[in-house]
Formats: sequence, structure tokens, C-alpha cells
Amino acid sequence: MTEPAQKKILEVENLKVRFSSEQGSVFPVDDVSFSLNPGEVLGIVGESGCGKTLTALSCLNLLPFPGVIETGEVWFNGDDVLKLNEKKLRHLRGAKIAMVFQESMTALNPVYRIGSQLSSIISMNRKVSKKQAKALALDYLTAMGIPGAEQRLHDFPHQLSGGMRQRVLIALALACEPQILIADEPTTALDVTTQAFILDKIRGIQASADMATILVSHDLGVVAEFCHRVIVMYCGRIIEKASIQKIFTEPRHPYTVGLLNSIPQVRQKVLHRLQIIEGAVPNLHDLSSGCRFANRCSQAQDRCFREEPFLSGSGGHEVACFYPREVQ
Amino acid sequence: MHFLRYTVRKILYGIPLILGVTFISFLLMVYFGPEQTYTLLGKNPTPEDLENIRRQLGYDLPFITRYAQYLQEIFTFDFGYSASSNERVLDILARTVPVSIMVSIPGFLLGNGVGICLALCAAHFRGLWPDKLIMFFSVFGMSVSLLIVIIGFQMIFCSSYGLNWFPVQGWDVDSFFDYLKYVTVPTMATSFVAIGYNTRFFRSVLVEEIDSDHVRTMKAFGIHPLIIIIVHVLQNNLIPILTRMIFTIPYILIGGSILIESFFAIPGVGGVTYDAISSGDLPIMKAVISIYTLLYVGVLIATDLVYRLVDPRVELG
Ligand SMILES: Nc1ncnc2c1ncn2[C@@H]1O[C@H](COP(=O)(O)OP(=O)(O)O)[C@@H](O)[C@H]1O
Ligand SMILES: [Mg+2]
Repeated sequence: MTEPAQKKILEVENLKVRFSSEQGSVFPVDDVSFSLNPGEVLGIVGESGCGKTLTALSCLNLLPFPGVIETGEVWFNGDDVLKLNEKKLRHLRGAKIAMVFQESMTALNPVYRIGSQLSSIISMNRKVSKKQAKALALDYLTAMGIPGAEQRLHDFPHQLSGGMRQRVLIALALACEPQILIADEPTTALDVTTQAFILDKIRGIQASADMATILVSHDLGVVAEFCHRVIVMYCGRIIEKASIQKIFTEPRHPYTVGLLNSIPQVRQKVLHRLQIIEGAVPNLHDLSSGCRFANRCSQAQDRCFREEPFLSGSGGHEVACFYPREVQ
Repeated sequence: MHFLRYTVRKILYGIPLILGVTFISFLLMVYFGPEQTYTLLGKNPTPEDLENIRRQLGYDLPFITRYAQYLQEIFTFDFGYSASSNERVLDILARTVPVSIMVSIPGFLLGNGVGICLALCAAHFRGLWPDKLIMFFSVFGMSVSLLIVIIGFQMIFCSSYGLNWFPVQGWDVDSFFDYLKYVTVPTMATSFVAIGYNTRFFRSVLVEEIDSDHVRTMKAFGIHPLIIIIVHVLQNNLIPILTRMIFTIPYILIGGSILIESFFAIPGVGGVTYDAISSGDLPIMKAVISIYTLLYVGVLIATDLVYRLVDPRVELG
């Protein structure tokens, strides 16, 4: 008898995103599948441009124009998010799945005060009055460690620093008390101290509310401290999927190994030579039939240039490579 | 109080602008412009006659004095008498300007109102069929010349070849019903073209905003599309939209009405301008140019004030 599978809170299946232009179609997210357990923190990592943001946006069915979802399903609460009508989608966004965007500087409307934007969004999603919403906003701003939160509500977005604005956005998402929080590079633009502080705050609230979270980052170091499981993406594909321990102790894909090697080992005060993965990410317009990483892979063999490997593996550790690193 | 001071300062800034523009128009039109001397004289004038008439017309005065006279005319708004009809210029304007305003108001409102609605719709459905349909018709409206639209509409609505619902020409307005009778076809013609241009412009402004990050945030938090498009897209772009609307006012009032007024035989200021230019009637030309200048400077000031009113972030500095 197999154990009854834990009920997933979000399941993404065979997601494929298409952008069409005069130069033809590209698929910046190609056949991506993953799932999220209740209360779990899932990391999505990969170089910038590998499709992390588009994957996250697809979970809200919110692709930027002219992107479309070519195929795939996103299951949440028994519904396929990609097939929801306009109205149901509105009820899902914010209230059930809330997203914190990478571009904190421009994510709020520049012509309205922060307080009015937060309270109208929160009151809509929490179905409370504007006044209650304002109180909630204050609570969460304070929880995010914003000094003088009351005063900040009267400011316009441009009056806040980048770090403050990022905190405001996180507070906004958290105040909606979603079942799933998607944080897209929430700390990328910030200095290291602020970064640690903000991640810590998110983790505190995430853990106490038992809120499933997707943390998108190009930095494996950030993911390491925070996530239960990690998805590594490369050029629109998932190339490795495993628990955080497995990724760090037994990485199997050469790309993951490369990513790990490139983390500066600041803690050990040992200056390892910063390893950079040679070569460049292939252009989405002219992908060959082989493995997308083959041109940069030191282990690549003939087969890697002819055929594309698919994710396989057991025990929750999957890798898309014909010659994965052997586990010792 | 702040706002009042701001307004006063803007108006003061307008004065050098008026002086500059009127100086140039004085040079071009009055100093180097048409001379009435020989028109007024009979055949074989004696040198004394010539000198007499030049003195009467003030042509013998030095440059500075003539310019000062012109300025005085502008600021007292008294341009004397028409050279061709001997009617007081002020009376001519009082008779024709209201007609032009009455003729252009419905077209202005319709052109902008419908333009914005269509643009909002097109921007919201960007890339989909409502957008494509609206853009097709707006490009069509832009591409057909106003002249052809006028003739076409006159054929369709005002002639016995077509529906023959409206008078083809004239302006014999005693009641609101008369007004509608005479204003409908000209309004349809101007709106037809204006809606095309406006929709395209407004759409391009709005589409850019729809792609912005803050609109995406609102969408991601489930805000209703109607609220997004009105509160976050339209509101954020009131400045370019209002600027454009205000800036078309002088053009519509004087420039645009020339064609409409002559084809529909409407006794407005456009027709008067046309006649004045072709007959070299200086007093009227001076008056019209001055109105035009004042209108434009007024428009510039109004835009600044609107800017301030619409966007609270604009400093009063
Ligand atoms: N609006 C767009 N039009 C065309 N291509 C796009 C657009 N947005 C993203 N892409 C493509 O999708 C790829 C992945 O984008 P994204 O998901 O933002 O990457 P990441 O978040 O991992 O940095 C980009 O490299 C780009 O080629
Ligand atoms: Mg991104």
C-alpha cells in the first residue's frame, strides 16, 4: 500500500507559455510541472531570463501581453485557474493567491497615496471596511518593521526608499492573508542586511500563518535559508527538483552544481574561487533539439546534443540529465 | 491661496509670450503686409494725394509708434473698422464668434467623448477583435479628408439624392430645434475625422499605461477591470489627454471652422478670417490673430493649471 498522497494546495501541470512576434514564436516556459504542499515553501531558482517570473504569473493567469498559455493546467482548490472566468479569477487573485512583484519601485500607482491604495486593495480582498483595512495595513506594515508606519500611509510611493517600498508590497500581500504567497525576487534589489531582515520577517509570518509560499530567486543562497523544496529552472525548463538538503548535499544536474559553486562562501570566510558557468544561455528563437544546457556543460556527450532529457527520478529528487552526477 | 498665487504667476508669465507672438505677427502682417494706399486712391494720384492717404492710414509713422498703436489695439481690443465693409471689427466679432463656438462645441464634445470611450475599450481589449475593429474605423476616419467627408455627408443627409433630412447650408437659428437642424451635419463631419485622430492618440497613451507595473499589481490583487481602467489608467493619464483636448480648442475655433463654415455657409469667424486674408483686410486680420494668440496663451496657462489640479505631486514651485 502506498501512503495516501498529501493533498496539494497548488498543482501546475505541463505549463507552456508562448510569445509570438514577427520573428516567430518562443516558449519561455516549456513543459513545467510542479506542486506545492500546504504550508510548504518552494523555491524557484535559475538565472535571470529562465522563466521564473512567467511561471509565477501563470499561477495567477496574469501573463503580460502578448504572452499566452499554450498548454497546461494550474489546479487550485479543485479549479483550473487557467479556465476560470473573469469574476472567479478576480476572487482568486489577492485573496487566495497573492503575489509580490520584483519591480517594487513601480508596483504601486504613483499618483495615489500609499494608504489609499493599500486600504482599497485590502478591503476588497478581506471584505472589510476601508477603516478596518487601514488598521490591517498598519499592523502588517509594523510587522514588516517599517518605522513610522502611520506616517508612511500618507506618503506617495516615490517618497519611500526601495527597501521600504518592497516591505510595503510584502505587507500588502500578507495583509490579504492569502493561502499562497508568491514572492518574486522580493529582496534582489536590496542590500544584504535588509535582505536578511525582510526574509526573516516573511518567514516569521509565513510559518505562523502556515501559508504556502513560492519564493522566486536567482540566488540559491537566499533559497537555502528559507525553502523546503527547490525547483531549478534553465531556459524555460525545470532541470532539477529536490528537497533543499538534497540540492545542497547531492546536486545531480551539472547546472545545479555550477550554481552551487558560484555561491560565495562568505560564512566560512574562505574565499573560494568564484566559479562561473562558461558560455551563454541559448537564444529561445533557435533552440536545438538537444539538451538546452549542452553547449555550456562540461559533461556533455553526443547524445546531449541530439536528444532532450526529461525529468525523471525517485524519492522526490528528479533531474533532467542523461549523465547526472552520481550520488556518492 | 497657493493655487491663486500659482495662477497669477502663470498669467504674468503669459505676458511676454503675448508680446513675442504679437511682435512677430506685427512684423509679418502689419509692417511688411498688404498696403491699402493704392486701393483707396483713384487713378493717377498726385504725390500729395499719396502722402495724404499714407498719413491718414498711419503708414508714415515710425516703426515703434506703429507697434505701440498695435499693442494698444490689442489691449483695448479695439481694432477699428473693417477695410472692406467699414463695419466695426468688434461688431463683426461679436456677431460671428458666438456662431463659431456654437458650431464647434458639439463636435468638440463628441470627438473627445466618443474618442475616449472607444480608446478605453480598444486599450482594454488590446489585440482582440474589439480593438482591431475600433482601430480600423479610426484609421479610416483619419485617412478620409475632411473635405470628402463634408461633401459625402451633404450628399447623404442634405440632398435629394440621399435622405434629405437637413438643410444643406445656412444658419437661421431661432430655437434649439433650428440649432439642431443646422448643426447636426457639420458636427457629424468634424466628429467623423476627430474621433479617428483622438481615438488613436488616446489609445496609444492608455495602452502604455495598461502595460505598467502598477496596473499589473492592481490586476494581481483582483481589482475590478472597470476600476482599473478608470481610476488607475485614465486618471493617471488625464494630463496628456486634457492637454490634447485643450490644445485643439484654438484650432477648432478658427482653423478648423474655415472649411466647415464655408461649405455650410455658416456666418462664423472662420469665414470672416478667410475673407479678410483674401482681401487683405488688415483690421480684421489683426483682430483674429490677436484672438488666436490670446487663446493659445490662455490654453498654455490652462494646461499648467490643469496639470497642477490633476496631479497632486506637481510642486507649486
Ligand atoms: N513581454 C515579453 N515579450 C516577449 N518575451 C518575453 C516577455 N516577457 C518575458 N519574455 C521572455 O521570457 C523569458 C523569461 O522571462 P522571465 O520569466 O521574466 O524570467 P526570469 O523571471 O526568470 O528572469 C525572458 O528571457 C524573455 O525572453
Ligand atoms: Mg523575474
